[in-house]
Amino acid sequence: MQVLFIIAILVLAFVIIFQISKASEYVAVLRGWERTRKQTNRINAFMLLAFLVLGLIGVYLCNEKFKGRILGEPASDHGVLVDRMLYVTIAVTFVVFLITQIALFWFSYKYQESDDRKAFFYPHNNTLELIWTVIPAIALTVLVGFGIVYWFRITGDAPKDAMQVEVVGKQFGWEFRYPGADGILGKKYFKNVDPAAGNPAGQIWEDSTNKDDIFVEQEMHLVVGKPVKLVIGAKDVIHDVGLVHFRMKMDAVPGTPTTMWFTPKYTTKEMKEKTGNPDFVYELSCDQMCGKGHWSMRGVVVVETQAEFDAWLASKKPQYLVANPDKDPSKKNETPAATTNAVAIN
Amino acid sequence: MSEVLNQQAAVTDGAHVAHPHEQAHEHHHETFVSKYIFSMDHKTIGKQFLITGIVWAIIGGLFSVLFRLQLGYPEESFPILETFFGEWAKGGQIQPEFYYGLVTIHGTVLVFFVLTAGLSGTFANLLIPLQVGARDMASPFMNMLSYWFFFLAGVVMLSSIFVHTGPASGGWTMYPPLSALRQAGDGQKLGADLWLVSMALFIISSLLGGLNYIATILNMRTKGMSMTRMPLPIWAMFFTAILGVLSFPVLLSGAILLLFDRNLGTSFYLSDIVVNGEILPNEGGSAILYQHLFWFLGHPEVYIILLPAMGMVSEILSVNSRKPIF
Repeated sequence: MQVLFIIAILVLAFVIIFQISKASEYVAVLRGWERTRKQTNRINAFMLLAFLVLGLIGVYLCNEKFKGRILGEPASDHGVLVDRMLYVTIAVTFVVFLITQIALFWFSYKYQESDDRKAFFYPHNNTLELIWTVIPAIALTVLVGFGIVYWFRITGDAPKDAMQVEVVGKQFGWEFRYPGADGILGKKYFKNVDPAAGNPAGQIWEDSTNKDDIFVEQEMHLVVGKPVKLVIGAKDVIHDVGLVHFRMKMDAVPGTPTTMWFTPKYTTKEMKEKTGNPDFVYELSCDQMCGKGHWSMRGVVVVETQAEFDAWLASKKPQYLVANPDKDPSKKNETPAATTNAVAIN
Repeated sequence: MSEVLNQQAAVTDGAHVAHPHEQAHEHHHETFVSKYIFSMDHKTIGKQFLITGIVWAIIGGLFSVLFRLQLGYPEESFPILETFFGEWAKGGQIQPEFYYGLVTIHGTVLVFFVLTAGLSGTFANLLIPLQVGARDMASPFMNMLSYWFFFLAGVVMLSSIFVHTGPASGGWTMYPPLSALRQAGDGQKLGADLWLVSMALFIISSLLGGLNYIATILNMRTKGMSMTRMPLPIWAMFFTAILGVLSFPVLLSGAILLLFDRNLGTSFYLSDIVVNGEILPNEGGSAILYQHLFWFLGHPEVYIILLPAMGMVSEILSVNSRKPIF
C-alpha cells in the first residue's frame, strides 16, 4: 500500500511538471514568441550571474565549515611532502577556478543578446592562444614533477637503518611479519600456508632466516622516528594498504610484492594529545574494493618508543616455535603432564 | 537545373511524388518492424540509441540514489527498501554485497551504456550522414547490428541483476583475482560471468558502430567536402571512432581471458592465491596484466566520452558567437 502511494505521488509530480510546462507554452504563444524569447534570454542571463554569486558564497561557507577537519596533521615525513603537494595543487586550481568561472558567468551575463549590439567577427588571436596553452602546460608539468619525485622517494630504496615489516592482506584482515633479530624476512611459498599447523604466512622452515620471524595479526607496531619499509603482499585478492594518517597508500597484489617506506613522526600517545581524542589510533584501512567485508577490513598501527617496541617484540614468540612446539627451548623443562595438557587444549 | 528542381520536389513532397519508376525500387512495403525495430535508417537507429541510453541513464541513476542513501544515512533503516529488494536490504538497510553490486552496475552502465553508446551512438548515427551529406551510413545493416548487439548487452546486464547470487560486485573495473575467483564472494559467481558476456557483446556493438562511422566519414562525404572542410562534430566523432576501434578490442581480449580464468582453469591473471583457506594451483599469472589491458581502453575511454560532446559544443558556440574555431 505504502509503495503504491509513493509511486502515485511520483506520477502525480511528473503530471504536474508536465502541465506547468504546457501552460507556460500557451502563455508564450499568447504573448508572442519573439517577446517571450527575449524575456527568457534576460532571465537566463540573470540566473547565470546569480548562480555565480551564490556558488562562490557556497564555496566560502563550505570552506569555513570544514576548515581543518579533513585530514589533520600528517604523521610521517613523507606525509608532510604529500600534504605540501596537495596544498600547492589546491592553490593553483583554486586560482584557475576563480578566473575561469567568473569569466564564464560574467561574460554570459554581460554579452547577452541585445538589439543594439551584434557579435563582431574575431577569428583568431595568436597571443591569447599561446598564453592559455603555455601557462597550463608549465603549471601541470610542475605539479606532475612534484608527484614523480615523491613517488620515486616513497617507493625507492629505504635508508640502511630502516626496519622491515611484511604486510599481507587477506579477506578480511591484515597479517604482519617481523624479521626478528637477524633483520631478514625468511622465504615463503604460498602452498605452505596452513594456519592449522601454525604456518599462516606460508614460511619455508628449511630457510634458517625464518626461525626468528615473528607473526602477528591485525596490529602493527612501529618505532617513532625510525624509518620503516613495508613489504606488501596479498593472499587472495587485491587489497590496498591505506595509512591515511601517514598519507601513505600502496596496493597489495597477490603474486606481485610491492614496497614503500616512511618514518613515523609521532607516537600514538602524542597523537592522542595532539588531536585531543583519547581514543585516537592510527588506522590501516583497505583502500581497494576486495569483497563483501571490504568496509570492515581495518587494522591498527601502534607507534611507540624503541623501549616499548622492544618489550612488545620480546613478548612475542617466533612463529617457528609456535609451529614446532617440540623445538621450543623454554618448554624443555616443563613436566610431561603440562605438555600433554597443552596438546589436548590445542 | 531541372534535375535540381526535381530533387527539391522529392525532398519537399516526401517520397511519393517524383520519379515514380525509381520509387518502385526504393520503397517496398515498410512494416512497423522494418521501420521502427529492425530499422536500417540511421536516424531511426540514432533514436533507438537515444531512448535505450535514456532508459539506462534512469536505471543507473536510481542505483546511485540507493547506494548514496545507504552512504549518507548508514545507521538509518528504510523499510521500503526491504519491500522492494527483500533479503538484499534486510531490515531496511542495503547489505554490503548488494551495495557493491549496485556500485558496480551503476559504474558500468553509466560509463559504457550511457556515456559511450548513448552519446556516441545517438549523435554519431544521427549527425554523420546529415553533416557529411551522405544518404545513410556506409553499411546500414552493420549499423542495425551495432544497435542490436548493444540491446543484447543491455538484456544480459539487466538479467544479471536478477540472478540468485546477485549482480557482479567487483567494481566497474572488475579487477581479478577478485572477479576471477568464485570463492571470493557471492557477487563473483554467475553475476560476474554475465557481466563479462555483456561487456563482450557491448564491445562488438561499439566496434561495428565505430568501423561504420570511420568508413562513412572517409568515403561518403559529399562532393566538395574535403576533410579540412568537415564540421567539427564530425571530426570529433571521427577521432572517437578511431580511438574506440583501437582500444576496445584490447578490453575484449582482457574480458575473454578473464572468462577463461574463471571457467577453464587457466592462470592468465592468477598466481600465489590462498582463498578461503583453499590453496589454488595457479602459478605464473599476473593480476597487473588485466589492469594494463583494462586501462589500455580505460584511458582513451575518457576521450571517447568527452570528444563528441566537445565537438558539438564547440560548433554551437562558434556559430552563435561568430568566431570560427580555426
